[in-house]
Amino acid sequence: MDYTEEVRGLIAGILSIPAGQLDIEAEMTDVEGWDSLRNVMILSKLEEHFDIMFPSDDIFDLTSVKAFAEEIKKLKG
Amino acid sequence: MYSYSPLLQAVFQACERHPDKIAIIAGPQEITYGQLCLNIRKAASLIQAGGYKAGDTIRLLAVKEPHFIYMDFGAQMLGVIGEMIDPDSGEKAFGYTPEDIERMEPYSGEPEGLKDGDVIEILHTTGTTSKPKSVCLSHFNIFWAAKNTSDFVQNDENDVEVVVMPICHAFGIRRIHLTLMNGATAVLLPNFANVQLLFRTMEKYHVTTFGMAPAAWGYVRKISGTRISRFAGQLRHIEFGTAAMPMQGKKEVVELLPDTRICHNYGLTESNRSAMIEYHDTAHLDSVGKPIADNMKIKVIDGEICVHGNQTMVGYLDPEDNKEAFVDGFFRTGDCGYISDEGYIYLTGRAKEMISVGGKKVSPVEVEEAICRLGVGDCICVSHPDELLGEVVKAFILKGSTGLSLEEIDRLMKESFPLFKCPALYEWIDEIPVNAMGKKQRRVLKGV
Repeated sequence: MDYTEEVRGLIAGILSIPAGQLDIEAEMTDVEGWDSLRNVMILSKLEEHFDIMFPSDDIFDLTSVKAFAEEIKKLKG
Repeated sequence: MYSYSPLLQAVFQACERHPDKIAIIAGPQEITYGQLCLNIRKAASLIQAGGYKAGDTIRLLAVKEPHFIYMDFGAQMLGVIGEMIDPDSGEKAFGYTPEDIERMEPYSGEPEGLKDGDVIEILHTTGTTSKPKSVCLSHFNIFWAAKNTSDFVQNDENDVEVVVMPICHAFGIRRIHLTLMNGATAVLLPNFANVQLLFRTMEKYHVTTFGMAPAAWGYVRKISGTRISRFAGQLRHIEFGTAAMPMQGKKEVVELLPDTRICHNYGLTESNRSAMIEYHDTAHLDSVGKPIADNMKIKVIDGEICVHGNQTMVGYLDPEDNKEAFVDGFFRTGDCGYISDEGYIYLTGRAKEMISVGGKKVSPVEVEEAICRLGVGDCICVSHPDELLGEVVKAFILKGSTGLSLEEIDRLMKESFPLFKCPALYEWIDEIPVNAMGKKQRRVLKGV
């Protein structure tokens, strides 16, 4: 299952921007408002929403919508 | 040239030493010292063309971009006071584009009659402990603020700094100033969010130093585990600031970066970094260290930490704010504390959080520590109104953090602690209120 659009919508919600404006490949640094505080909110929101725990070794690589969606896919099996 | 501005002099001297050395890196842009100084002159022309003259104030949006740095120094060159506006505040500032600077002819004059004691920078306090105020700093102040910090952390021309903290506040802007006055290199990054990018940047440019808040350290650790230790041999120094670091955090930083100089500043916008502690000074890690330099004097007046030095502000913009700001020429920090025989400064609480029990001042922190020593996991003490004494201490004990009953705590306290400092009231609490920085929020419980 592909979680990209769902993840995109959730992250856009936290960043208060329209989902269509959020480039799924963009690194967080290139997205306006995606700072460390928001990133912590994104991590916990996605963990709660998908009922998962991001392994601490993987969090380092979660730097875009795409990376989050792929990680969730991996964890959901 | 620019005898009124030792900071500007230092930057231009660095340019004379090595005009082709990279001063600033921002994304794909690499700006040499020669280009930096040329662009500072162009920015000065732009500001002048905007009708500003020495003594006027220009509102500058403190974005972490090279053009802001040109405007900051350009204004200093003209003696125009730069008022730093937080880009997230939504407030209006002088409008321009980087191209506007680019197309100007470089300013080649030097205004007459300027002195190093003239106000040149206005910073806004964040208002975490009181209402926000506007702090006026002179050329002399901002030079010494940068120089004292640089000397303590041992920054020099060989350093490469990654600037990640916001630069609308003293912490970030001073890091930029000290880097450029030393002729070192500053790499600008928007924030700490993408730790992978931070590490890539540190690797690519062989970064040797940065400044960060303890909260950012916590974030970097959460996101990247212990990966930062791979820079242990590369990082020459780190400066922490803006808030206190928990003891466990201090030990952890030293474990991961054993050979790095880890400095933690104690300061405030009004007097920049006033004291510093280095984390390898393990015997004194519960203090905020010693005065940052010989030109900074710190003393305790009526229990309050007061500071005076070359970097201490000229005053607040609003004269009303200055009325109670100084005592004997020393700036009142609002923090309570004491200085040990060895000269280390220890904080015991905020002055306005002091509880006045029948006119005697009691530090809530001191009482909390005494209660915890009895075998209580955590607690928070606040002022409670009392008909007879005016105020008394009320203690909230964290539920489940101790096997003692409230009556036992009360009895043990009265046996071991000055009676007037002992809480008159006790209550259990489910959770200790803390803010995002981890500071106890005594205000929310006051009078409860």
